[in-house]
Amino acid sequence: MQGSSGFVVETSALTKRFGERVAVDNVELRVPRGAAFGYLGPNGAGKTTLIRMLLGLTQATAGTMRLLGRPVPAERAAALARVGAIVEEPRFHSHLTGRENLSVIAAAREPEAHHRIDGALARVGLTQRADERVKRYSLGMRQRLGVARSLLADPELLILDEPTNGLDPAGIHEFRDMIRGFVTEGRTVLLSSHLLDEVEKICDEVAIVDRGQVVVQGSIADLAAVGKQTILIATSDEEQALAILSEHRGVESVAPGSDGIRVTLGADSADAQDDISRRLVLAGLAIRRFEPARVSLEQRFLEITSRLEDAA
Amino acid sequence: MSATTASTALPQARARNNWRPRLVSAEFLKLRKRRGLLISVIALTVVPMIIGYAVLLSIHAANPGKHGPAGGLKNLSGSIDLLSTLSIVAAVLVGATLGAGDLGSGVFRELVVTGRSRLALFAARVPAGLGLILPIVAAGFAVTATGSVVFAGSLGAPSATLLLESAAWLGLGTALSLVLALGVSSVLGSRGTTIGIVFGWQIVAAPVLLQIRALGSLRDGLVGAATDRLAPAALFEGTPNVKMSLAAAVLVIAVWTIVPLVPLWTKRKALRSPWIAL
Repeated sequence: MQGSSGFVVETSALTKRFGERVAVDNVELRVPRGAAFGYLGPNGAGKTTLIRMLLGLTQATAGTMRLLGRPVPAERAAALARVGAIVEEPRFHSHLTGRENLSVIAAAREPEAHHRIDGALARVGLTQRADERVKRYSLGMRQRLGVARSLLADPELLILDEPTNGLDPAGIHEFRDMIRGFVTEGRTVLLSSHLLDEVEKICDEVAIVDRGQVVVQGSIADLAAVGKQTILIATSDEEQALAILSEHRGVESVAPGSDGIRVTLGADSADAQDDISRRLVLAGLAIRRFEPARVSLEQRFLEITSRLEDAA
Repeated sequence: MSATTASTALPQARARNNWRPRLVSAEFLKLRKRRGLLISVIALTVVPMIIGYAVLLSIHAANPGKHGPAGGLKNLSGSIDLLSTLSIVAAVLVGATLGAGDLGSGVFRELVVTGRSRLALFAARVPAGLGLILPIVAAGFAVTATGSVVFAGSLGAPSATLLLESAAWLGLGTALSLVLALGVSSVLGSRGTTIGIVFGWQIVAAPVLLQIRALGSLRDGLVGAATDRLAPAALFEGTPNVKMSLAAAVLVIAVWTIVPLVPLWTKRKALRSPWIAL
């Protein structure tokens, strides 16, 4: 059964408390079908706890959840039949081979899962090492075997919790391509990570979580654009330009750099750009560069989390 | 290959019940691939029987006047007595490994996220464990049964009925020990602790309690009393420590089959529920 809303994960007021501590706080999450969705937050933000609740590994204190359109825990078995997951570090029987470990998990799934073992191993590049005992596998190989295991479900939804932990740069690059490949096939990937760069490079959409709360949610491009506007300015006289910009009411901050002066405009900056350019020209400066700076998710993330820290 | 293509329908196979044999087969795979365990079980059950008969044959060949034939009822009795104790030890090793293996390695969590119920995952372990231990104990028994018949010489060879009764009795004791260890380890999640507790009970405490006459009818509740009652009469001389009816023995064994599962039963809500901290 498919969710009529087009979301593969939907939570409403989802909360998890450990005693007095609130690990997940009234989370309203909507993961759209067919996207790579980043669940981004610092360590201890409650990312893994939310994933554990979705997968039935821990009980929610309050709120509701739907996976692939099915309510969980009520229809947990049916929902998880098409969900593949890596939670924290993937675990295996070290005395069994990679192939045997997949066989053990396939036995708990539908009969067709056994027929997917070879394909899954090939997909993660472990065919040649599949008949070696897992105790001889490197961490990276175990991560890849974890992905192969999650593919046994022929998943509509892949939930990957910090999947690149322990991978070398080449492995991380390979992993990114693999995840994008899954999305191209029509699968949805929910990627939990504290690595901004990773989420920005892999994901289409993101939810930023901090202290158990989803602070903001949307497409990466939109989130980056919504932040304070930043422009790069290069002129014939940087010192004079800095003086003019520093005194401007619409400017929040200025930072000289190798590529020009990075100017962050205040929230109410609708006409500030026009006014700044006018003043620079009137001051006799030649404008060599005047363009919006690309705002990274990292900047947006830091902006949001620092605002929260100020409010706390 | 479907791992490369996302399907839109949820698997209908969930409705089918053919996952049970596959789960049992997976549990069996996990066990039989533990070489150390397998070697230990064989070393405890088959090897002593081979050595025992080799020694009996050797001393009989060296001095037939002083040492009688290696086979016969008396030697069968002695070897079955030894094999029954060693089978308990082997069954406890297997049961403790079965119960604690997935929890110890962290793989139980990975099994749970497939959506399969925890009770189903636990239930598959019993036939898998029996499937491993019983054939090996049967092999040990086959050695002693063959030896007792082939090398009976001037002594009377045991009857086929007695051999069948002995095999069934050995199997019963082995299965009970396996279930007990499996139940305890599934609750404790620790192989070592389980082995210590169940060995202590089965090999030391229970036999000692059976000898204490002052306990009176309380001893009727011990599984050892019930299995003694069911032991083939022709195999062991004298009467059992505790006299009890056949019905009572069967009842006690039935209760002891359930007792190891009681901790799981008390946790049944948690086990059936999708929620259990792993």
